[in-house]
Amino acid sequence: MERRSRTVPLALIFGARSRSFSSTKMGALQFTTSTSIDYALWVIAGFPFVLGALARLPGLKGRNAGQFAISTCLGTVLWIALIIRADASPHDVEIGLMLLASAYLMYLEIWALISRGYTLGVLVTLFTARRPLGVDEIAARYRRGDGLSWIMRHRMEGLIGTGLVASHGDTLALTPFLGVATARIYRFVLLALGLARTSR
Amino acid sequence: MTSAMISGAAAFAIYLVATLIFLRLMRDKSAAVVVTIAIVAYFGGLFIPVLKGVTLNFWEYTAVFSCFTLTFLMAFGAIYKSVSLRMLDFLLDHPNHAASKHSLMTRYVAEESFEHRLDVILQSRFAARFPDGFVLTRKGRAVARAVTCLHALFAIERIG
Repeated sequence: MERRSRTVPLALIFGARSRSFSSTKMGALQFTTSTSIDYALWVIAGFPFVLGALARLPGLKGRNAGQFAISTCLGTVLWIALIIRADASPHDVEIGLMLLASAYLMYLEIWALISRGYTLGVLVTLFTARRPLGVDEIAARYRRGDGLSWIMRHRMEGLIGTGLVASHGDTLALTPFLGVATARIYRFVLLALGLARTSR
Repeated sequence: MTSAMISGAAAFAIYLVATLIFLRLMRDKSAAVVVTIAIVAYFGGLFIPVLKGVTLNFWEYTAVFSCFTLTFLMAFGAIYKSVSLRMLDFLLDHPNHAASKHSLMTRYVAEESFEHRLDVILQSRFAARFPDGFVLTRKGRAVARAVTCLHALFAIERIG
């Protein structure tokens, strides 16, 4: 398996003062990459371009979660195909896969923020209005006119769809097993993490 | 396991313990705590072993540390900010674990999601409040412009 080697002694990062120290005690940072890592880095670099292209396909327009999921699948399949051809060692596959997973998680955080962030949604609402807006106006114009009720509808659909709550006329109730268990686990995790129950 | 992988896993373990301690000490700054400690743990885990004479592979260390840490941050973010989970928690306290849609809408959408966001925007100085309404500051316009550009780039039509 081909490896591209580049080692940087830490003295080069910390400057001349540490250079004499490095010869006795200091280790070094290696930037050696395997083919598996190289391919992972290429897939990571290409991911936003694939996502941008998929978002413009008529069938996927407006389906942000679907666009992201398909881009992730395409990138992973491409990476797997490339490493099979390169006959990578299990260790290199492990590292490449972890790099790829990390990048996907990072992209997902950014993607979720720009496509679903409430605070950014309010900023964009104010920006597109180009004039001062009162609280009621912001609420009404939120998400290009969908308004605040969209948030409630969207949340309810998600919770009902996953079987966590059930709708009975004007009330919402936790489902006896899944809903109650999830709420209890959530409360326990808040306690374990030391987060206040009113955290936002 | 290589020394880089061990260092990455150890840095993550230290990060996790430090986060659990500091979250209890600084309850009002939870988001800043998890991010700041992650940055300190990453560079500490990378450079301290090297200063002690260990040779580390940067990519292996980064892969292990970032994979564990970003998974934790993803779960933490979902728990910390999720309106849906807070709704479930709210329902758990009610008789028959049920409440009216109106009370949920008022508490979790109008108050916590929306009014809290407006407070955050004012406190972060992204906007200022005047008698005729909210106006974006220069900083707020820059952020909104950047987000709008990203929306154009990724064909995102609606945010929220």
